[in-house]
Amino acid sequence: MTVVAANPEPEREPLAGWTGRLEAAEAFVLLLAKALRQVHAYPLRSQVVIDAVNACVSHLVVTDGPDEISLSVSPDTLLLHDHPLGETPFVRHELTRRFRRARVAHVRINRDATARDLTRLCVNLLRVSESADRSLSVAVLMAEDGVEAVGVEVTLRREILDVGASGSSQRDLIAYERRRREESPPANTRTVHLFPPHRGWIRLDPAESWESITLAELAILVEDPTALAGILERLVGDSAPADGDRSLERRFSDVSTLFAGLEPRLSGMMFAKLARAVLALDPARRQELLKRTVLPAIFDGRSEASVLRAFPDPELAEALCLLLKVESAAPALVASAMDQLKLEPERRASVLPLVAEIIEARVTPMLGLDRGTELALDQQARRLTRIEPGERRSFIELAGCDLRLDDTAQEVIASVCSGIRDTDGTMAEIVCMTNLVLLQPNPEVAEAFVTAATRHAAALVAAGRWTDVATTLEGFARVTGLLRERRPEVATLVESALLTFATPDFVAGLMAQHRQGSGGEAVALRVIDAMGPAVAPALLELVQSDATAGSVAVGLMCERAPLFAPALAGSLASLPRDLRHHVARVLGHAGAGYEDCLGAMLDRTDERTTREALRALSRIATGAAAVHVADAARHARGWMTTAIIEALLRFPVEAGAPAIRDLLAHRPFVLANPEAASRVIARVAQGRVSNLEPVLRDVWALRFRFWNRALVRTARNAGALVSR
Amino acid sequence: MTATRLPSNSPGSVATVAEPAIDPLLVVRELVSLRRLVGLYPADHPLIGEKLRELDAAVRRQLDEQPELQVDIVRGDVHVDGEPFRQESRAHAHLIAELTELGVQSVCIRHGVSADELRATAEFLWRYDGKPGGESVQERLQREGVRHVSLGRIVPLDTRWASRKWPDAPDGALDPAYEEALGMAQEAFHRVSSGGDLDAGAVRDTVQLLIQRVAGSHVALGHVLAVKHYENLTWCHSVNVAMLSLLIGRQVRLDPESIVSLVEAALLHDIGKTRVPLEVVQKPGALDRSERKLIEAHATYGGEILAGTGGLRPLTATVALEHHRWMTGGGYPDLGAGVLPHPMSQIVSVADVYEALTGARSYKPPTPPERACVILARIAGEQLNAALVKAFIGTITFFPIGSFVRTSRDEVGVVVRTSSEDPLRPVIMLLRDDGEAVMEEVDLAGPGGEHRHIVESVPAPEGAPSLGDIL
Repeated sequence: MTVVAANPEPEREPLAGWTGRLEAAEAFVLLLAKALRQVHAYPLRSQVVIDAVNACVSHLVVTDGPDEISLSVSPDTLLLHDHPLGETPFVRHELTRRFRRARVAHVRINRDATARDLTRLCVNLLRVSESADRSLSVAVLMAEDGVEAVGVEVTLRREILDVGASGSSQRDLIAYERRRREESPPANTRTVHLFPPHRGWIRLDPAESWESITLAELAILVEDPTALAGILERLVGDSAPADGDRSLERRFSDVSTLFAGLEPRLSGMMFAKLARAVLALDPARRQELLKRTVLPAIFDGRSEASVLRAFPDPELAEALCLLLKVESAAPALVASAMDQLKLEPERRASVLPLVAEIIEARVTPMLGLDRGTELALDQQARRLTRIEPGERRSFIELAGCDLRLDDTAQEVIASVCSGIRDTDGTMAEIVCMTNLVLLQPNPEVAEAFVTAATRHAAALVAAGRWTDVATTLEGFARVTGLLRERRPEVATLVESALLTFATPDFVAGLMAQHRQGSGGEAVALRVIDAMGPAVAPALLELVQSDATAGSVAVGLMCERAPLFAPALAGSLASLPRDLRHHVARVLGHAGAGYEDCLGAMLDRTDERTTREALRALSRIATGAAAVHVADAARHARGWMTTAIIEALLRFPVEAGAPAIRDLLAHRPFVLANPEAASRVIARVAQGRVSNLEPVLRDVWALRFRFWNRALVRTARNAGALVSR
Repeated sequence: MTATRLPSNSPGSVATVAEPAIDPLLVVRELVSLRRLVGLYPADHPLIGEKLRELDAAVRRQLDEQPELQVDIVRGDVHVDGEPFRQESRAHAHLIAELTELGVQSVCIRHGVSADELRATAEFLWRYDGKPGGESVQERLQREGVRHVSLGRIVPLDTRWASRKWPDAPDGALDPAYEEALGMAQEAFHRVSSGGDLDAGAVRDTVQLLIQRVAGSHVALGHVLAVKHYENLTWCHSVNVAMLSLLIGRQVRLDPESIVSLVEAALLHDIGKTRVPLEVVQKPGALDRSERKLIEAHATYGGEILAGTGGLRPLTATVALEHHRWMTGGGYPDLGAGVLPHPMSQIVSVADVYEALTGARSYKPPTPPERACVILARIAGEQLNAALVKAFIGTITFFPIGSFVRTSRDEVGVVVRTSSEDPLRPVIMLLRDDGEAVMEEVDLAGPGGEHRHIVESVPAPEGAPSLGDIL
């Protein structure tokens, strides 16, 4: 029976500046736990969450002590330099438990951590601790959020790798490999961890005496390269891959490195196994592996190419000929590749005819060469691939490189030079800053770049460089679009930067640019498109203050009506009365969907707006628009009736006729406006409208009101239509 | 071995009854208890039957929904089916200690295990002395009819790897101006890596030094163009890339002002690496996801550092940001589809790749220049601007100045002059067998070179004179 002795009280680390301030640290931990609970329970923008996080930040600011709070996570509690903190059930439940679930070993919180930093810590901690996805890591998420003031160290997931029972030959090989390394340790080397340390653990038979297994020994024990790749994938990745072949493709270089490090003969054997595994891959995947990893390694002098030496001749020839699909250079490269592989003369002699055969049968037609070129290529291939005894190696691959600076190359070089010479410094800096904003996850860091880019852009505006302004604002808009989902905080920053340009002065300059012509219209539209509806208030302000520029502005808004209409329709109630008719015009250009909004603008007391709204409705020309017009007609008087009838008559027959029919069925309208009714009857007669006859009969019934001659004429028109 | 008789209410009936999930460690605890009982009591003792029934029931409940149960003990921590299993219990601590003392840190029980196999395993464990060596435990268990239980020992995987250690700077006599430029660059990089600001004035001085003095020195060009038997991924690399960019810039006839911008940008293109831990930068093996992200972030870090530094030229930050972007829109960082690198970044990319190839790395010796040129040609069009690659190789040729080469007559020489017209036939200075220079120049393209051609690049022979002496 083993007696487990109670551990003596461990010696604690000094408090490193926290002496006498433990209570403050304890209070911070409690506040953080509370913040975590609120983040868990309420939306991030809720006041409870904001208050809870701000309380943490305030506490960090006012507390005396070292620059950072460094907490280690033990099974039951948090440790500040070995001193337990947060031993209350609340902190254990809300904080410590989640840290442990998220495999957080250590967390370092700088005193200058912002509310965003702490919020991201809470959000990421909750996300990882509540997720079953083992690949999620708080450290990675914090880095992706660009948080530097809070550092998180995560315990690596241990991978227990079962290599099965080893055979006696494997034990011998391992013993031999160990002896070899002991007897001739590699000189002039430094030791590095090829894979994360302390992550991999090997499950051996209990009878094995090894106290640890090296990577080279692992390669011997596992034997199967695909299985070895799977194991290596687990050591690097965060979850075990499902597909062994996929692992082999991804970890091919690592497997090759391990095999190449073995004793040469053993290495050859292992590469032979690797070759079999590669040849067993699905042909498309094998080709991809060869093209991407193996063939380039021939020329780079890397170990991955060694697998080719273990290929049978036909497969080696096939693989080498893949070079012609990958490379732009001549078939010379195939021969050069054989040089690099250091094939024995006999082997080379047997592979060469196979290569020549493949080139002749497949590559030449593939390249689409004509007969003359084909012959030349054939001759060149024969010349370049011949074996020349006495020469250690040739430079045929160098001859294969086309180094001529032909006309195309010269043109490219000229464009490179002009591209550099003509680069505008300000624009280059703006583009760079915009790209940095795109990449920077932390809005507090991104803000500096946004500010700098905005300052440069303002200089462009001041200089009247509207084309560059358009390019710059388009860049901003692009970043906003790309980041809206991924990093809404940064996207909001850029949107705010765009808004700073939405001033009356800016749009006045823009309208002046538009009026200049010679491409100015297009530039103005680019700016408008980049800024979007946010520029509408400034445009409307300009409309109020400058009639000439205002008409251009309205024209621009009409041209981009679908862009502006939603915002204008939404803000209609708050707009000054003298702008409403402009808005009506824009809405009319926006098309269907704004009928109700325009219908509400038909107001007898505002003739200008009403006439514009009627024109807009007839421009939209949908059935719904016609209904709004017809409804207005029922209660219209004087100028409005005329305007409405004009508008109704502008509707296409199919769209307007049903509304006209309903209007004719409204007897008070006919009685009050017989001449107008007569015009609409004439109009309705042009289309095929269902259920029109009863309506016309009702009008016809008015023919006896002889004291109203206009009405009689209208009734007779209706009667004529009925009889027809 | 005698067949164990189990009470009729077990085991099959137990498996069909829905019961709450049980502690997976219970199986191991029961197995260890059974081990003790079979050792202490006669085979037909009722306590053994009772314990076996409990163990069998626990096993069946565990294997009801999964093909196997594996409990591993790694450094005292229990893992169940590969996942850390935390349950603070003194009883577990005892059973962990008991198993570990036997040299057994892993128990795997697979679907289909019978009560007989469990009993045989317990009996084996009682007899097992925990001493390594001899016949494998697996074979011994199988001989006793145990096919669905395996025992294991957990040992750490030693991931250390001996990689080649190279000096971190060139040794031997250097061109004084080149050495001075290296020193200035080193100071600038150290300043940034230790949290200071980049000194734009010092950068301008270094750029002027490179353009006015270093570029005019054949010896310095030899240091830059030939293979480099040192591994320096920051300041030496940056000075060399600046020099190579300068060569390309002159070859494509950039105007002097653009040349200055180009050299400054090339000199600082990797400044972002000062924010990446050196062990990650130099790591020869597989990078995990966060390490890969860190490495790739150096371009963005560089852009950020330089964009925030006053007094630099406008394209300097752009080049740092874009020098790993490809002509086909790939590479990193991801700036969106269709965003091509600026022409100046394209020049620096060519120089950067060549310098990286011809420099030593912990996982590979330096690539000879002629081979580096072939690699450049291979990736031209996709990663690099093909026309710039042509211009670059045309300038430096396959055997650039300062390269040690072997001729078809088995002589070793140093390339002292090159010709873009005949890039395979430079002028070489022959060395004697003992490595000392022979003051005889041979123009391989001229009359003296009729019977010689270069066979290969070779490392500098032991005792070979310095490039300064030869050039």
